[in-house]
Amino acid sequence: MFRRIRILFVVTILLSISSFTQANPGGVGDGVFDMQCGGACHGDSSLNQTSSASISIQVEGAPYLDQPISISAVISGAQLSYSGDIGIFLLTDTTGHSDTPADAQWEILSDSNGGTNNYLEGKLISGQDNISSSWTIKPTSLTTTTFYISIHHGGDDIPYFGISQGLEVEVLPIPENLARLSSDFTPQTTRPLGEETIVSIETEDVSNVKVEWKVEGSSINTIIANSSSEGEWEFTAPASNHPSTIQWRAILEGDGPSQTTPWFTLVAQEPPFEVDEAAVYIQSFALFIFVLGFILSIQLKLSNVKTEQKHWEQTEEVLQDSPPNAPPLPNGELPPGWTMEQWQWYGHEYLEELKEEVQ
Amino acid sequence: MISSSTFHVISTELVVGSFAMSGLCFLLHALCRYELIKSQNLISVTDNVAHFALMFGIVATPFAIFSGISASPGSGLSTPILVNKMFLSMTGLGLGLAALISRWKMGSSILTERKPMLLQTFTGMSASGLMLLTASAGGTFARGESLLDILSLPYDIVILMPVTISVILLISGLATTASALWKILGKSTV
Repeated sequence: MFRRIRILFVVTILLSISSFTQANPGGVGDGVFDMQCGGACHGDSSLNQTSSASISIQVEGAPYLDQPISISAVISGAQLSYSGDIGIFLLTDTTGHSDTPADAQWEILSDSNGGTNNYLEGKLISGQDNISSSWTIKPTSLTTTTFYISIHHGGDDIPYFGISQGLEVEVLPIPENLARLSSDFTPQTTRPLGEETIVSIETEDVSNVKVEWKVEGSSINTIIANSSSEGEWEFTAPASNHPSTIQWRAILEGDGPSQTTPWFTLVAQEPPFEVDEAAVYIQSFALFIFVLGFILSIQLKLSNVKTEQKHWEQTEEVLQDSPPNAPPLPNGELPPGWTMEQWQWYGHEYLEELKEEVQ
Repeated sequence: MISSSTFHVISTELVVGSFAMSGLCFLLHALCRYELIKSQNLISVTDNVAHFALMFGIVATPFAIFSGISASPGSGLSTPILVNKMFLSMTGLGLGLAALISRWKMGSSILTERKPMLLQTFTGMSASGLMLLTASAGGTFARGESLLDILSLPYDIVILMPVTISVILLISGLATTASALWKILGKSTV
C-alpha cells in the first residue's frame, strides 16, 4: 500500500513541476532582465520561432553626457493581431547576457509603464497589430553604444522571438553653457490618483523653463515652470481620477544653447499591490497542514471514545457465555471429584455416558 | 501542447465539479442519517459518491493551483484576490484530505456514530464550500463578476499573518498531523 502511495506522490509531483517548466504565458512582470532570460522564460529555446513583426527604434534628444535621451520602439505586424501578452526588451548587445543598459553605463530614468526597467510587458489587443514602448535613459560615461529592441510573444501556441537592427548612439561631452538638466536629476515616474502633482526639475545654466505636457491622444499644453530656488523649477500636473499617463518635456533656455529634453512619462495609478510571497506560501501550507491535523485529531478522539467504551464493555459476552441449566444430580449428589460449576456445564454429557454404559 | 491558462480551466472545472458533487452527497448523507430522508440505499450511495468525488477533486486540486500560478500575470500573487484564492484552496484541500483519510483509515463507523458523522459531513461540506468560493474568486478575477458577488465578499482584503506565527502554525500542524496519522495507521480498519 505504501509503495503505491509513494508512486502516486512522485507522479503527482512530477506532473505538477511540469507546469513550472513551461513558458510563462501570463508573463513575468516588468523587470531588469538580460535577453537570455527571455529565452529561458520560453522553456526550451529550440521551440522559439522567429517573429515576423516589424520593430522600429528611434532616439530623441542629443546624447550628451549625463543628459537624458529617449528611445522609443514601435512593434507592428500581422503576427501581433492576436490577444495576448508581449515582452519588450531594451538591450545593448545580442550576446544574451550582460546586455542591459546598465551594463553599458546607461541609467534608465523612466519607462513607458511607469517604472525604471529595461523589460516591459504589454497587452496586445485583438485586431490591433501594433504596440509601442519608450525609455528615457542617460549615459553616465563617454561611450558609444548600440541599442537593440527584442520582443517575445505568443500566438498559435508557439513562442516567438524577434530582435531589431542595432541603433548606434555616441555620447558627446556637454558644450559650454548648455542649458541642461542637472546630472543628478531623476524624474518622477508615478503619482497617486486624484491628486495634483508638483513636479520638480533641477537644472544648470538655465534662466527660463517652459514645460509641454500631453495626455495620450490629446493636444500639447504649454506652461511656464516657476523657479523655486537657484536651479530648481516646478510645475503642477493636473490630477487624474483614473489610471492614466501624461508625458512632459522641458524646453530649457539660458545664456548658452537652448535644449529640449526628451518626453518623460508620469503614470497615475493606484498603489501597486505588494506582498511577501514567501509569507503567503508559508501561511498557505500552514493552513493546509494545520486544518488536516486538527480534523484528524478530533475525528480520532471521537473515534477513540467509542473504541474504549467497547473495549471495557463486555456485558454481551458475559450474557452470551452464561452456563446452561444444570441437569438433575444422580442420587441427589455430585459424582465424586466434580464441582457444581463443572456439573452445570458438563453434567448432561456425564449422564449420557452413564446411560450408554447401562445399555 | 496546451497553454497553462487552458490547462487551468480544465483542472478547475474538474475540481469544482468533483467538490460540488461531494458536498451535495455529504449533505444528503447527513439528512439520511437524521432520517429526514428515509432511504437505506441512499446512505450507502451518498457515502461512496461523496468520498470518491472528494478523492478525485483532491487529486485535481494541485494541478489547478500550479497551473493557476503559471497562467496568472507576474508571480501569480500580483493581486489580493489571487492571494485569497491561494489561502482558500489550500484550506479546502486540507479539509478535503482530512475527510478522505478519516473515512479511508477509520472505516464506515465514523458515519454511524452521531458525533464523528457530524464532523465528517461538516468537514466534507466545508471543503466543498471553500473550493466553490475559490472558483468564485477566480471568476471575479478573470471576468469581473461571479455568482457569489451577491455576498459582497471582501476579496481585496488579505489577512496575512506574520511569518513567525505561520511557522508556529506549520510546525504545530505537522506535529498534530504526524501524531494523528501514527495513531490512525496503528488502528487502521483497512
